[in-house]
Formats: sequence, structure tokens, C-alpha cells
Amino acid sequence: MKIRTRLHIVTAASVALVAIMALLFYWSQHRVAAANKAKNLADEIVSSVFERKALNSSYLSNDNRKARDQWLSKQKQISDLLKMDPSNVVSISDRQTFDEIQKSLDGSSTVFLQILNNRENARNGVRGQAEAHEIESRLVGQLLLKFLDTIAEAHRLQKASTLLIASTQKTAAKVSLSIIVCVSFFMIIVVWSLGRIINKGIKNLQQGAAAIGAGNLHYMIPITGEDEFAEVAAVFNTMSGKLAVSHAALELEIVTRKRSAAEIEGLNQELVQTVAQLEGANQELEAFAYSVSHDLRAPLRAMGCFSQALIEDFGEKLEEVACDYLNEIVIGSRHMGQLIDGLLTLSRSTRGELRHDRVAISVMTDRIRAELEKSEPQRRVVWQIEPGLCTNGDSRMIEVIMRNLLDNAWKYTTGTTEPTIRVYAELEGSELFYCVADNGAGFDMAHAEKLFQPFQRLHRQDEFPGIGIGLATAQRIVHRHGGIFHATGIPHKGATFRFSLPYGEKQGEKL
Amino acid sequence: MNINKTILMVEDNPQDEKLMLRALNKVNLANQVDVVRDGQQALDYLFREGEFAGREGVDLPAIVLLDIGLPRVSGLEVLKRLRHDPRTRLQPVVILTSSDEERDRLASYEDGANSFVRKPLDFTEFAETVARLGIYWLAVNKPPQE
Repeated sequence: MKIRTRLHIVTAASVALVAIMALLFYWSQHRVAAANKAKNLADEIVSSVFERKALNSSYLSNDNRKARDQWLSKQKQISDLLKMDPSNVVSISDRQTFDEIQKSLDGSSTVFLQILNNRENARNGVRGQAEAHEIESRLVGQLLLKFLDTIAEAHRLQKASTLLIASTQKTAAKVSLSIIVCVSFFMIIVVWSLGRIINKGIKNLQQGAAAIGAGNLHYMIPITGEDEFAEVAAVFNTMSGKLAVSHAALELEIVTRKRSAAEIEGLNQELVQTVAQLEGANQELEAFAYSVSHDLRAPLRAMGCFSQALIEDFGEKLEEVACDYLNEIVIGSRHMGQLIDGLLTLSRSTRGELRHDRVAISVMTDRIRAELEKSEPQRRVVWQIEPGLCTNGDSRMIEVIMRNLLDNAWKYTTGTTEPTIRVYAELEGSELFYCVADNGAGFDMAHAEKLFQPFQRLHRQDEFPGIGIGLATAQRIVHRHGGIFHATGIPHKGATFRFSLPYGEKQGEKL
Repeated sequence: MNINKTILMVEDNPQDEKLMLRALNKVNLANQVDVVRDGQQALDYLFREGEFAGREGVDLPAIVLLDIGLPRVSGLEVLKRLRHDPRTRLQPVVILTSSDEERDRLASYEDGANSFVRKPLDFTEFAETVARLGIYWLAVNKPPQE
């Protein structure tokens, strides 16, 4: 049973107690009032009977007519009093008492009328004085008996009323006492049981909270009964159940994360190893490049130089063909030297840190132009260099790009009438492209991809000499700057090379 | 410190040695050239130790032509030791090498080289360069002390 229901019952019982007490009070008051009324009536009857007795005596001794009339009217008054009986309160025994009083009154009335009749007869001479006197004496005796009867009945009525009052008060006291005792007992039991239930419920909740606080998330509070504590315990158990579930999920998450962290750690170590391997490989590559630079050149120099020494010192003694062959050795070793230098530049373009320089491309182009014109002063080339071109990046590397592109433009316009080389910048979207264009030999776009592969050439050595490594190097440098390299060409019309250097521009924004 | 009119050539490659001697011979400097073939020998020569212990009293060369890639003690190490010794602290040294690596060039100047020359591949250029070096350091250049 719910605690609320129990409290309702206690309240209802209290209300009922108050109602019963009120009813009891009303009932006892009513009874006492009725009894009082009956008592008063009895008192009045007694006094009226005594008054009538006095009137009776007065008439009998003085033959007072007025007293006779008063007696009759008193007789009628008492009858009237008896007629308005408080029947609603008077018990059966009381009613009998009333009837008895009525009967004795009626009897005394009859006797009194007989006395009157007797006196009348005597006065009229119907009956003799002595006989009338004797009859009257007997009738007066009867009247006295009736009077005593009436008094006795009236006294009984008085006594009954008094008894009724007493018994009513006693009953009311007994009933109210027993009700108070019963209700108090009931309430004590209810309050005690309530206290026990509340105490037990709080204790259970306390234990549950302590257990969960200590980490036992699977603890369940025992559910007894159907009261509010059972509801709270059920909610509590649901809560602890959900807590246990989420706790388990969290633990799983932690385990997963730890595993992921371990995996990441493992991957990191692999990465560190890979980086170490890469660094090792890079160092080997560098050592190799250094070795190529240093050690390959010495024997090459020996071949070229001793061949040339032969021509210089013994040229007169040698046949022309022998001199020619020696020259071929010199040319071959010179070409191989260029190849080695090209390879070194290519290898350097992918190594080392990028520097952040401000690079004046127009100025750089002008300087390279001057060098090219000096190398072949007989050539006439029209140069269109957009002034003020500037970028940010590694100046040595950007110079390698420009030198390669301008060398190519210079070389491939050799057979062109009115050769023109243009250097300019143009925006494509948000990206700035630097362009080197010529109207020289150009190339077939079908072979464009070969342009950027080392040692792949689109022209024969006897047409245009070269080692086929310049564009590959330039492209790598552009890529290292995060840029794009495009080449477009039409055979015998010319070629355009365009590149962007976003790395340099971003560095420029930071500067 | 006294400086005479000799050239010390430190060169481990006999072909380069031959080519350089030929070039110096063309300008009549060949008879003033001493040749050593590794770094340790160069140090012994300059500090008069080891096989050169008996050379007391002989002056230091006017110029040392020093290759970098040398057996036993490298050219840069020889240069460092020369600069750390008070006797050879001011000895003119030219690095003459096949390398054109920037780090070699930087390291050479950092260690106190007076000049850095790359051996040209072309014979004519090579011969000219060596001959010019010889004439410059023997005839044109003024040494720290006479």
C-alpha cells in the first residue's frame, strides 16, 4: 500500500472520529433535552395535581362553586399537558406511565363528578342527607386514592427522566472514550508502520547510493511492496542500470582508444623508421652525387685533357684522321661532363631546404639574356621582357628554371627568321603563372609528356644539341614550390612554358 | 715565417698531377713544384715531421694547391690543422678540386682557404687555370712575410 494512501486513511479516520464525536454530542444533548422536558412535565403534573387537590378540598368543605369550576378547568389543563407528550423521546415504559396518569386522572374526574352528582341529589332531596353523606365520604376516599396514584405515577415519571439523563451522559462518555481509544490505537499503529516503512526505504536507498558511490554499478535495491519507496527504488535501479551500461561503454571506449593509441604509436614508430630509412637513402644518394661530381670527373678530365695534349704536342706528327678521332674523344668527354653537371643539378633540385628569397624575375631574365647574347653575339633575337616581375622562393632554384627555359628558347629559335622570346606573367583563376614563350622549333603536343622525363629529347643532337635534363629539373623545382608546370607547343611555330610558384607567394604574404 | 718560391701540390690522382705539372712546365714553373700524395704527407711536409723531419731550415712554400678528396687525412682536415698551428696559421692555401658542391666551397672558406678553384673539365681551360694560379701566387701575390 502506498504511503500516500496510508496518510489518506489516517486523515479519513480523523475526520470520521470528529464526525462521530459530533453526532454523539448531538445525540446526548437531544436525549438530555427530552429527558428534561419529561421531568419538567412530571413536575408540572405534580404541582397541578396538588393544586387540584387543594381546589377539591376547598370545594368539598365549602361547597364553593368557583372551586368546582377551577377544579374542572385544572383537570382539563392536566389532560392537555398529557396529550402533548414528548413521544419522540419517551420510552415505552414512560408512555405507560403517561397512560397510568391519564387513567388515574380520568378516574378521579369520574369520582369528582359522582360527588357533584351526589350533592345535587342531596340538595334536591332525591337522596337523604345521611345516605348522601355516606356516599360522599366513600367517594372522597376514592378520590384521595386516585390522587395518591397520580402522584406516585408522576414521581415515577420524574425518576425515569432523571435516570435517562444520567444514563445518556454515561453512555456518551463511554462511547466517546472507547472511540478515542480505538482511533488513537489505530493511528499509533498506522504512524508506527509508516515510520518503519520510511526508515526501511531510506536505509535501502542509502545502501544503494553508498554501493554505487563505491563503484558497484550493478547493485540493485530490493523492491518490496508498492509504495513510493518501491517506485524510487525502481527509478534508482533503472538509473544505476543505465550508469552501468554507460560505464561499460566508456570502459570499452577507453580500451578502444588505448588500442588506437598503441596502434598510432606503432605506426609512428614505423614512420620514424621509414623516415630514418629515407634519411639513410638520401644520405646515400648525396654521397653518390658527391662521388659522381668528384670522382667521375677526374678520369673524364684525364681522357679529354690527354687527348688534347696529344693534339697540341704531337699534332704535326699525327695523321689528320687521328687528330679527328682525338677531337671526338674531347667532344665526347665534354658532353659527358655536361651530363654529369645536369644530373647533379637535377639531384640538387630535390635536396636541401628551400630558401625564402625575394626574386626579381625580370632582372634575372635580363642578366641571362645578356649572357646568351654574349655567347653568340652574331645572333639577333627580339626580347620582350615584362618589367617588374617578382616572386618569392629559392632564388638559386628559380634561376635554374629561368636559365633552362631561356637556354631552350635561345637554342630552339636558332633557325627561325625574326626570332622572338617573350617573358611575362598572367593570371589563371587566382593563380599567377610566369611564362616563357618563343616562336622557335616548337614541339608536337603528342610527345609533350616526354618533355619532363630525364634524358628524353624531342630533337636530334645534330638539330639541337642537349642532354634532355633541363625541363625535368625545372619541373621538379616548380613542384617543390607547390606549383604547376605547363608546356604547350606547335611544331615550327614555337613553344610556351608556364609555371606557378604558390609556395613563394605564400611565403611572400608572411613576410 | 719565411716563404720561398716553391709550390706544394697535394694531389692523389697521378693523371691530374701529370696534367698540372705539364701546365706549370709550359710557364717554366715545374722545377719549383714539390708534390705530396696524401693529407698526412702534406702535414709532415709542412710541419717537417716524419719523412720530412730532416728538412729543418727549409722555408714554407709560397702556395699550397690542396685537393679535398685525399687519402688518410682529407684536404679540409689538413686546412684546419694548418690554421690551428701558429707556424702555418697564415700559409696561403688554394683549394683545387673537382667538386662544385656548395657545402665544400662553404666549408673551405670557413676553414680559412684563401681561394677555391674548381678543376675545369676542358684541357685548355684546365691548363690555363693552373698556369695562372702558379704565376699569380708566385709572382703577383704578396705573402704575409718576406
